[in-house]
Amino acid sequence: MTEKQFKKILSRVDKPSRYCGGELNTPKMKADAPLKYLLCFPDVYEVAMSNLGIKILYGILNNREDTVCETAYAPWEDMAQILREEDLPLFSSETRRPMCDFDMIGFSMQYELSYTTVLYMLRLGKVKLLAEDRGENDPVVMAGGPCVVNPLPLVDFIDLFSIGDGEQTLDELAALYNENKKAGGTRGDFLRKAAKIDGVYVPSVGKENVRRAVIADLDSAYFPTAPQVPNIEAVHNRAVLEIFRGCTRGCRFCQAGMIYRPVRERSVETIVGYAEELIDNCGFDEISLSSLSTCDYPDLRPLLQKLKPITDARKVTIALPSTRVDSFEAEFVEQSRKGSLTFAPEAGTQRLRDVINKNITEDDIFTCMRRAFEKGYSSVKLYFMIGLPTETDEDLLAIADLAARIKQVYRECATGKGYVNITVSASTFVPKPFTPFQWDAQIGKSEIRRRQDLLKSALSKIRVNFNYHGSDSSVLEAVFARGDERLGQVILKASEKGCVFDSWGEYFDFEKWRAAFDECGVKIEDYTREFAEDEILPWSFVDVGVTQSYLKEERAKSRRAETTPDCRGNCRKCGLQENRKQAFKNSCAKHIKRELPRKG
Amino acid sequence: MILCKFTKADSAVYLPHLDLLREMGRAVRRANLSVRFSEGFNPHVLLFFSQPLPLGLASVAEYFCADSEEDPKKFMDGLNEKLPRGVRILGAVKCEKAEVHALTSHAAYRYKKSAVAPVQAQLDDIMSRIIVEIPVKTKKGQTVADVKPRIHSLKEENGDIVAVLGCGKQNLRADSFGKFLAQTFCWGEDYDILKERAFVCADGSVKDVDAFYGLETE
Repeated sequence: MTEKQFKKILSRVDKPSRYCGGELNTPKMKADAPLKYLLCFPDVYEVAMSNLGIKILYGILNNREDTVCETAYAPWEDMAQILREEDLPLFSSETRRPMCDFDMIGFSMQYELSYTTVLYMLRLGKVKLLAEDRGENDPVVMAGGPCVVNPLPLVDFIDLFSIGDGEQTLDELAALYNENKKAGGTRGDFLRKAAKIDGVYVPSVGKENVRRAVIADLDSAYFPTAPQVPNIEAVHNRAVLEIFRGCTRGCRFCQAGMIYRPVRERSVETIVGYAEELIDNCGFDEISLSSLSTCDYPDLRPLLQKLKPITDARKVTIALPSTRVDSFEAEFVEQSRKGSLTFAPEAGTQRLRDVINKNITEDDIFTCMRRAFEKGYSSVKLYFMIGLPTETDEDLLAIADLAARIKQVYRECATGKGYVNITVSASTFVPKPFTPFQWDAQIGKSEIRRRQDLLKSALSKIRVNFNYHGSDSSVLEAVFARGDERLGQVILKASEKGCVFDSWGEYFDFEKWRAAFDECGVKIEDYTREFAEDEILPWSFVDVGVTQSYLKEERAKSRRAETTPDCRGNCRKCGLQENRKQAFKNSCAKHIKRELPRKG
Repeated sequence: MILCKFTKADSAVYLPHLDLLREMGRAVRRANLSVRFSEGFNPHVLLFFSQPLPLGLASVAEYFCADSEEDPKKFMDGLNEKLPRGVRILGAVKCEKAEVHALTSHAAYRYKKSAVAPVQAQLDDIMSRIIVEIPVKTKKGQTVADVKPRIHSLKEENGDIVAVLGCGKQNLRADSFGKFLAQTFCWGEDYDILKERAFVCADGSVKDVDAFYGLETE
């Protein structure tokens, strides 16, 4: 594509900065590197640019002498239309090399509803959609990210999956690719050898001994302290600093809490050093200490004490995402605006919270609310789930009751003027692989709607705002999360019908999906039903570290509303202690019997 | 207060105005320069920009003021190490007030079309008309407006057209005017626009911003 052609295209699209490249901190692209890797994210620029995983892998690959890594994100429809009209291939944003000219293409799969967008990008990039059609001169298409712990729905399109932590796997794959190329090996040779690397699943080689890759030590792992700064405002317009990976809480619905085990932390010194580098290199006015449950970082207080003077001097605010109700360290940093507090009790009654192992009590919630209101907060967001296993109408109505009592607490101890603003958001429960609820059914669409209506009417009586999602997208999420190989044809069919950007409300078209399922003779109900505990689960050939027997035991406990305490107190024998000994030794072993984080 | 003159070229021409503002603020933080911040819960760096440039247009004459006591040269050099591709500070000078955006009344744009030389006589003809009606975008949508009062001068220079157009209250978008020129001279869509200079209207005369503030560029 000539410069003139490109300029002309950019003048015709919305937000041309999505495609023009030139982001600050873009490394020099090595033109003669033997491995040309294209890192892709199946969503628009603003979403892709907010993803930390992409930044980590981009840094690791570009740090290699023998590899150049570029990026391509899903072009919005206006750009796609122009590419089709002009018969131009989707290109990388760094050097505008066509997608099909890369040696390897990697997709980051963060949510199930991005599957059709992968096909949309491959098609625009003039890469053959089906893995079986690709030959010696075609790129190797790979996928990673949390979705691919169950890779089966994507096997038709993907040559190679990277399951688990990508840091080491991708580095090894790059080395292997170059070695194989030098030795005159074929594409097939590469794939066969790649299948032996920890974390790699190559469908054409077979489903044996696929282990999730786990980096044993996060403190020494690569972290991008000079990531690209997006040209336009991204969804998360801030510096992101991952302070630990994994979570010790063991909520039974939570896939991330199971598949990122064990908890691996960065040290206070490392984090403070990285924070300073991020400020120098990116200049964001906010830095987010990211993890699955930031207030569980054992040295949060010393960390904030060290970090605060540095960030204050540079006029940077600290954000603590994923704060739980029972941790109120947040006040330490949130001395600024009394905005709204976000809590996620997930369920309305203590019984149901025990079922899902969300170990917080009503006392925790009210103590926390009281403190927040005394400090001047007057807006609360509460997150819940609808359709959890064993849920009854009583559990749902208890959500409204909880909201009503929070209002009462506000009246008693508010220092601020005016009314309290409470918003309840309810998502629909999606059973996910490798969780204790992986066998459980998702409630049907009409039942989802009935329960939403029940809650809606209860909340409107006490004038509490209610947010919820359409049921169709939750159903599809469940289908793809627990799907098998048969779904490949459905994804292809839906993509041919024009399904793309399914996570964008205005693009999501369930009728097209329904037609695709019908035409392929695949039943949605086959995937939303309850799975028997003795049936072979599609994803059971993947070993994520947590054992199926542990998950079964946890499920049984959930039906008795029995909780499992945080594994920082004592090892709960989830499997990691056997299956990932080194990582376990480096992390879990340190924490056993260590003091639990102070309860709010 | 420091007045800075900067470029918007290369891929930076696609940076929307608000994102450019944000990026400049981040650059100030990256360079660790001392600049006053706004008060309040979300303090932001106090930078004052001149009028937005239409998306896609290149410029070597953009300006902003920074509420800073730093030495202007140090400020410029510090920033230049931390700016994205296409944005470069060309000169910096101390000034009293952040008013360059309010005072700017005109700007000079160079319209370049390779291999076609316009004729001064035709440009003079445009200037001699009583009204020049062109399609312009307004808040209500596309309409036709007489922009003659907003055209200050039209000259041929080395085969290009240099137009001095109104800014601010008398604003004439350089890209809208470009379409008119392209149509007049049958250029098609393939031409470039570069904003070269900005002028202030002070004490009844029009002066180059650089001369008015004593700003020197390298």
